[in-house]
Order: sequence, then C-alpha cells, then structure tokens
Amino acid sequence: MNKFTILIVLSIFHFSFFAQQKFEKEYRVKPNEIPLKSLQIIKMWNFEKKVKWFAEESNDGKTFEAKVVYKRDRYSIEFSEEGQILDVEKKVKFSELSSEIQRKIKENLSKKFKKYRIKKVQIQYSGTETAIYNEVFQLKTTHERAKINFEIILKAKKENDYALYEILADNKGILIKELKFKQESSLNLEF
Amino acid sequence: MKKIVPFVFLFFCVAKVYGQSDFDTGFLPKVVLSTKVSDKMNWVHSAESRAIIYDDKYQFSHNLLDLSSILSLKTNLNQSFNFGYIIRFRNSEIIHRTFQHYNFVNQFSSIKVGHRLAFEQFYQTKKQTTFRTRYRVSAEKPLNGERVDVKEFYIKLGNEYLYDFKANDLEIRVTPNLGFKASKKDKIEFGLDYRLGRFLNNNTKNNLWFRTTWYISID
Repeated sequence: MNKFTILIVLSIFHFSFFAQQKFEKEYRVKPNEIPLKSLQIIKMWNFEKKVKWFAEESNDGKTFEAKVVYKRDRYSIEFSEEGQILDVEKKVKFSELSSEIQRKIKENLSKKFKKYRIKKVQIQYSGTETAIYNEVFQLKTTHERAKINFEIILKAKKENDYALYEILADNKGILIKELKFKQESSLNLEF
Repeated sequence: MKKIVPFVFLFFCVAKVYGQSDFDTGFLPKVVLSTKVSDKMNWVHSAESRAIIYDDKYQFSHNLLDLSSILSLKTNLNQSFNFGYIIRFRNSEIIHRTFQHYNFVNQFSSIKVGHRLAFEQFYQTKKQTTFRTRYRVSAEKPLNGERVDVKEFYIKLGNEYLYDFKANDLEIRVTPNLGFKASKKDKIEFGLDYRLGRFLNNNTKNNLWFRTTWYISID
C-alpha cells in the first residue's frame, strides 16, 4: 500500500476514533418543529420581520430560540421544550445603557479584570409573558415589569492572558455570573 | 449528499475546460495533527501527498510527498505566529522549505474569517535559495445554525495569492471546501484547490486538485 492510499484510507475511516464528548448542538429548525405554545406567542406578538427559529440541545436539555429584528433591534426569544417563554435578549450598544449602569458595570469589571474590552451587550428580560411583552414593545405600564439583567461578552485578562468571558450583571450593575469561554480551534483556517 | 454534487460537477467541468491547455489535475490528501505543548504553544505536523490523474494525458501517478513540522505560538486570543519546516520528496528530488506565518482569525455572528500572511524559503542541493510570500483569506460558515457543532457540515472558501521573487510571478488559488466536524477534536474537509499559475507572464498554467484534509487537535 503506498503513502497516498494510506492517507485516503485514514481520511475515510477516521470517524469512529473520537467518540466520547459532551453533547451540545445548535441548529436551524422549521416552524412546524416548534412547540405550538411558543409559535402562538410569536404569532400574537406580531413582529413584522421574518422570525428565524433555532433549537439548542445539550446535556441539560433542549430549548428553542426565535431570532427577529424589530425596530432595528435584534431580539432572541428563548423558549423551553414545552413552549414556555424563558427570556428575551435584546442586542444593544454599551453606550445605550444608562450612564449610572455603565458606571457601575465598569467599576465592577475593573475590580475583576486587569484589562477588558466589551464586545457585545444584550439586555435580558425575564419574568411573565406579559411582563416581557411590556418591555419588548415598550408599553408604559406600572403593573408587570420584567426582571432586567445585562449579558456582556468581554475580551479580558485577569493575570497575563486574554480570554473571552460571558458576564451577567443585574439591574444595579452587580456581576452575578461569570463564564470563561473555551477557545475554539481554528486549525483549519491556519493550516 | 446533495451538497457534495456541485463540487464533483465543478471538478469535472473545469477538467474539461482546461483539457487542451497547460493543465494538471489530481488528488491532494492531507492530514494535519496539532498537539498542545502549553497554553500558548502548539506543535503541528502534517503529511500531504499528491497524485496526478491528468498531466497532458490521463495517467495515474504518485507525484510528491510533503512532511512538515510547525511550532505555533499564540500571541493573542485570535492571533498566532507559526515557524515551520517542510521536506518535499518529489521523484528523486528533495526540497527543504522553512516558513513563517502570521495568522489572525475574526469571529462574526456566524462566519469565521482567517487571514494568513506567510514568507517561505526554499533550499535545494546545487540550486539557488528561492523566496516566496503569500497571503490567504479563508471564511468558514456553518450550513446549519450559527456555529459549527459536532456532526455538522460547513463550507469553507479560501483565496490565496503567492508571489515568487525569483520568477517574479504570481499564483492565485481558489479553494472551495465542504467540511464536517466529526468530533470536538477533528474536522474533515473535501474540496477543490484551483491554482492559476504564471499569472504575470501571460503563460498561465492551470491546476485543479481534489483535496481531502483531516484536521486533528490533541489537547
């Protein structure tokens, strides 16, 4: 068997070599694969633009996500497998947050990281369906208000090395969750 | 399967079009193995073979074998410098090559774009050392969803420009690929590597290679 044949055989029969891993998958789905309840909510909310549906599966379970642009803002609406609304995330610029929140978040980030750069900010609304609706469609009601958190993606360093972090800050700017991303390999774009 | 058909179709179409000119075609299977040395350093090895199926006439012959060893230093989250060596066995010839790469990768919402700037030095017994510089841009996009998960397909498009200082000439490469992320540790890509050589000297040479590349990362 020459070298060329060996390479071809290796390429074809490699799939079974690396089998054990944590299960995590995100993929596009059609509206007919979505729980009816979540479809009804999105229909009722009546966004003018096209809604794209995604499913996310992991060891923790399965969720569905509707992505839509409304009044030039990007929204992600997350549902449970049963179709219950979990939260809504709205992509914003950090400078669009109130100056008080900006100041608080910056102050708390500086305590945690030597250096940081904010790459993405999302306002996260959670609570009842009505409360979330009031926030998304900016209804000025005092009855039901959603709980507001800020999800921030950072490039930051604690010691010497930069890493990507996902931070969750509450509506007072206090950091309540920190998750370090594992760096994805870009081997196939480098070699 | 439907996604693969256009690649195969394109392969045969281009082979037909260039059938009458200075044209070679064949297979380029490659394996790239990356092992982690430390948080900032990887040691990457690769083996690439070339088999010709058309060179003026249809034939099947093994043409060359490249073996490389590269030290990859991560300088930032999305940047790296690579220093490597390739030994090429072509018929009875042996060509040594050293190279330096600078890479940076940008992640957008669903597209990942990689840039590579490289300098290469070629050494061969009884021949003058030659130099080449090259720049490549590649984009990777999942075929389903916004990121490439395990057991998912993606497309990768590459465009590269290579300048040979001695020949004072340019080669342009276009590389469409269909990729499959088989596990967290490995990806396999099938595609074409179209090369338009001697671009500046009005004596163009066309090569079309059918590529299979298996990328393996061991942390």
